[in-house]
Amino acid sequence: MRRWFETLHRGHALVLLSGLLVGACQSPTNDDKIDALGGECQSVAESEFHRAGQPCLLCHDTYEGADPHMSVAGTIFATPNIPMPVADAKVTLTDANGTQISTTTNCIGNFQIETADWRPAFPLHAEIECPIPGSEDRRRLVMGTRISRDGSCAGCHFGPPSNKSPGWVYCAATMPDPPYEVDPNCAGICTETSQ
Amino acid sequence: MKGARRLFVALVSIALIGCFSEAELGSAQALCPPADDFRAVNNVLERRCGTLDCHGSPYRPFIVFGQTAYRRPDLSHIDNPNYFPGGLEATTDHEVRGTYESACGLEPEEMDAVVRGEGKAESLSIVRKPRLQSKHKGGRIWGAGTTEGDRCILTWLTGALEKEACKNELRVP
Repeated sequence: MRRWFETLHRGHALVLLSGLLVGACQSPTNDDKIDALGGECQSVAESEFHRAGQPCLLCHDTYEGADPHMSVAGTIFATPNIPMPVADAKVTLTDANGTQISTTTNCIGNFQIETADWRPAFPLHAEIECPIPGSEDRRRLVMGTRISRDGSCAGCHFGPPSNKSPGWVYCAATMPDPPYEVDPNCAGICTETSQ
Repeated sequence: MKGARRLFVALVSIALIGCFSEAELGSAQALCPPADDFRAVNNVLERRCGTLDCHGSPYRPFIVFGQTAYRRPDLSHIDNPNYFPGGLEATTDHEVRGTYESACGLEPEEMDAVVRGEGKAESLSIVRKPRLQSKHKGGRIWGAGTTEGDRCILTWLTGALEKEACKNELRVP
């Protein structure tokens, strides 16, 4: 053993030490969550339109470090059971210091607030104003609880309502008449998926 | 030689311990503050700690159950993995009991000592964490001794629950 240490080149030791340090910073929990998201949809560019309904901050935060870094981001859908994205929904967030920020969803229902624009003090109050198809009116919905620390809406709001989740963030309990529609030219529409 | 003997004794000891069944090892009972009025405490924990991205999660050592926290299937639905009461059904007694058991089971020895009057409530994580006297990813929830929520938890732990303090905490947005 001693001889092995003696023959160990200083450069090798440095590489070994670096490997250990890098390894120590990995989070298997986060890695598993990121792996579970699956591959990128081939027909959607890696942009503000990709991965609708997925927890954005898993990658767009300090751990994975994907650009841009986001403080809050998510997707708004039409109903609890129909994952149809809603465009032009206004999202308003208020942090513990009373600072407020608003943004709107794009054609695939995604919205994002980057850390460069807002670093909120948790917990956050959240509300949305949804367009109503065929009407100039908007429907205001206020989140019943606070966001305590996870800036990804989909960290809690995933899938239809279940024991594990209150369901997607949605605009209406049932599909209105006329219904919500997705712009067929929206850059976020996924026509194929890669595994 | 001495080292080998020690190693042998250690291995035999480990093997013997491995042969004990749970019943032979026995069980220990740990005391916990009264469960009777815990709903008042649960209301505070649910509001301040129980969001799904914090303690309203089955992955936390301390789990908060309830209407706005992690929903706990009622015993009558325990065999149905898809049972979901929705967000409109009020916190059930079964969920209050779940939070109580979680709070008591977090640090049972320390909790037992506090109830016996042999330990300080301030030493418990359920007091230290929201005060940020211990590392807490959720940050500082309230100040030491200065807020109603803190008093609600402390008075429950010391067996003289001040329900009014719990109610007042819920008035804070």
